[in-house]
Amino acid sequence: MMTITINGKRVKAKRGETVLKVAERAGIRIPTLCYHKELTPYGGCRLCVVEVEGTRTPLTACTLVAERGMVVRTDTPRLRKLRKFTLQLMLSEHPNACLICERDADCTNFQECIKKAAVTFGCKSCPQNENCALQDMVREFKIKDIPFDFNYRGLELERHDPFFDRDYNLCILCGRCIRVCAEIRGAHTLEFHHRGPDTLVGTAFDQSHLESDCQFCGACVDFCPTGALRDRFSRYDKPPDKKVKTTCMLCSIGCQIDLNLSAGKITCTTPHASHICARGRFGIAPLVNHPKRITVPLMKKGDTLVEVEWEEALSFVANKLRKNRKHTGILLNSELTSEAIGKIHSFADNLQIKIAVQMHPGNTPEPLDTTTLKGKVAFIVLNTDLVADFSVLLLGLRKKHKNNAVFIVIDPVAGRSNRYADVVLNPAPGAEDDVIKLLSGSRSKKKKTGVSADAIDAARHLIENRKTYVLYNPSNAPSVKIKKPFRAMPLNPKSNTLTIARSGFDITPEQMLAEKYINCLYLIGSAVDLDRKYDTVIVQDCFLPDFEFDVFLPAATFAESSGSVRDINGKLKRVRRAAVPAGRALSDGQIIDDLARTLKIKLKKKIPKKKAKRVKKVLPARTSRKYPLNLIARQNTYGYRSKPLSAVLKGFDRLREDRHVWLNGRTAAKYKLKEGMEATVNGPHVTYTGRVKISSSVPDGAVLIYFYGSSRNAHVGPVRIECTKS
Amino acid sequence: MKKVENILRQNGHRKERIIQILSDIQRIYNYLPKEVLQYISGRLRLPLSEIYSIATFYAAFSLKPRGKHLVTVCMGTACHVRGAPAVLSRLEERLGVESGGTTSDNQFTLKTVNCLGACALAPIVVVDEEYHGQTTVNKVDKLVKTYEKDEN
Repeated sequence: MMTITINGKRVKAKRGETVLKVAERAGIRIPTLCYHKELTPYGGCRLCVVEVEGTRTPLTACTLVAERGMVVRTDTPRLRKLRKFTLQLMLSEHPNACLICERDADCTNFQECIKKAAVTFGCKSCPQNENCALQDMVREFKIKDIPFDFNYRGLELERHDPFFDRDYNLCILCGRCIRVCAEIRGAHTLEFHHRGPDTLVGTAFDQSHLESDCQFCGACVDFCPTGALRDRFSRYDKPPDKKVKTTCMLCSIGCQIDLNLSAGKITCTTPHASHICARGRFGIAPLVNHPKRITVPLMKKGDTLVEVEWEEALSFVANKLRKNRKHTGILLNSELTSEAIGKIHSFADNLQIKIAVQMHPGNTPEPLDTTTLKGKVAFIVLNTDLVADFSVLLLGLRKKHKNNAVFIVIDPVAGRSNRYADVVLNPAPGAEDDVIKLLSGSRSKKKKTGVSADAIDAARHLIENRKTYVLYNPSNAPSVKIKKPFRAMPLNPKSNTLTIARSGFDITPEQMLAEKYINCLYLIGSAVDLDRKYDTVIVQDCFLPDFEFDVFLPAATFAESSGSVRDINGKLKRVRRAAVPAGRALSDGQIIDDLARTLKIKLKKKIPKKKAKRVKKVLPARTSRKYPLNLIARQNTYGYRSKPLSAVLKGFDRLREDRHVWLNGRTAAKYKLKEGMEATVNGPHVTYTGRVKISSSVPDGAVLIYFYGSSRNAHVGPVRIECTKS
Repeated sequence: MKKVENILRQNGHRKERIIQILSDIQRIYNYLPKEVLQYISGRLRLPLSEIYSIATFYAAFSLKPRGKHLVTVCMGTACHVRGAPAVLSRLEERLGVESGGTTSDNQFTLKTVNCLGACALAPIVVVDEEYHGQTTVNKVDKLVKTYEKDEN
């Protein structure tokens, strides 16, 4: 500790602390634009200049390390003049018609420009209007004129990528987006290009963000102090008038998010304290406000769907359930609040209805808490794309272990993991288990794994004397069993899986759909394909299913319900209702309550526990002449309830491309397939149709598909592929 | 790619030597091909965006194929007052390209630079690392001819 003087006030400073931080702590404000507390200081905007006694020129406070006895002044006429001049220079390249207009206030009231300034030059048409750090700064310094010629760069608006638009004419080159992308997200998508007056922010070779491995986490948008980067969905909405903190339920990590509301409408998501991913950032608002969302109860009458009152729909369902309960099955998705799950279990218990849950049985109800791991650790990442599916978990692990943890990736598919992985092992499909055994030190089996002995040795050397955890999505590795010395850390991507894993089930979803005696299905948010006729099908969801049904009960999304969820580490998190459910939709818990009232049954508060059943391990089959290709099936983790995001939301289809059939060039040529053709993958347990996509990341003799839902056996084993439409 | 791998080995696969690596690559290819940059990005574990940033920052690097001979006209203060603009416009006329361009037969690339630090020789024109001091408009034709002759 030492003492420095700022504006005549004696302030304590820690060793290595910057003057800006010391001043901030002492309640002395220094204006900044390029500074952000989470990023390394850059000293680019020059607004934080301060005078230090004994130095000739003013210095930037954000990069100036405090020294014993330093005497600093932050607000002198000379500094004010300098800052104003710097801002004026910035504005000479940033559209400023509204910023310096004396009739700004009138304009806001009447929504019309009196001076007839072009749309591109004003703030009124900028989506970040009144939500802009530069605007605040201009007001603070009362800038009313700019003594320089205005130099409009005339750059084209970049809007060919999903989710956000980029207008670099508004960019002030503060580099916040570049730093957050590199330092925090580790994506390195953005960088400065060129030099001097030609400097621009962009991707390598000006590729699109999709081609540049952008994760579309939206951190750059949230860190931008101007309107250069803007969320496309909320661009016409007013700045948020309310923020509601809740838990994101689009995956199991359960990030804390702020839902931004403008006049009662959810317009966008911003991270609450931590960081989020594309699903939470760009998925929630368009999902909740989706034009195709069904928000009224529907019933099939004759051959047509008719909008009905809740009472009619509920009494129809109640009647069916009462009469048919021995032949009824409830199939439940995990993306519900724990309270709703409890009610559904209690409801089913009361009526003695069989219950099945959509989750992979490889999930243990008691998980390892990833946030409490200590000491020297190593992670084996098995068949799971951490960057795409669990990016926030990966950020947390890397931050906690200060990049000292070892990451070894085992995956037949070459993914984006080489960014963070110390060793990448690409075994032949089905040989993952053998590679793990080799890593653990067993040498007995001499099978071909497709991985060189040197690579295995290198990986073994790295994990020596480290506690090693195997991170994997059980759905992507059905044949793998993790044994000592490694510890398994199953990662189920679906929100609240732990709660449904704990409350148990009567039968598996596969059994429920196969059992002939079940002729009435009650599907709560579940993603299934129905391939036989049922007496009654009740659907409780947000979007219309692809199959025939009798009643549709419109459910509220998690943004419109309250309750709690258990996250991937077993921690309980609150889900808060940010908006009133759209239309006549009701939360899942409310629907069950109403049903129980109609049936005159009482729901118990406690979740009844059922014993989880043991499920046999699935053995990988060998390829044969009939089925010559190995199927690699990966769970599509981008979805909500019954729908993959790529099926309902614009942008996610291009980001994920998860409805394609992926092959490498050689395999495609062998089966005379070309990119864009429609092909069907057929196996003993699987039929999947999609457009062919060629990628060198898929190994020879294999075909990669993404499945949505949780069918367990359907996606393992050898297959054949045929072109169905060229 | 074998040559590129050699360059990387000579530089010990160290990413802090990226500028040296890039200039070695440019010596071989005469410019920085995209595929090569993608390759070294993977080998050095250096993000492609950062390599691109460096390659566009320095005027010495080119991302477009250049002609066989690189003609650099110094436009620094000393050269400027002693007639560099006239020399440049004569060169542009003679070669039929504007500054920054490459002749259609891929023989010459013409570019300008802001100071070479050899002001005593102003105005100066550098062709393929050979310095031609006190170049005048009249000397331009002869100069170009020598390099054209080289070709034949």
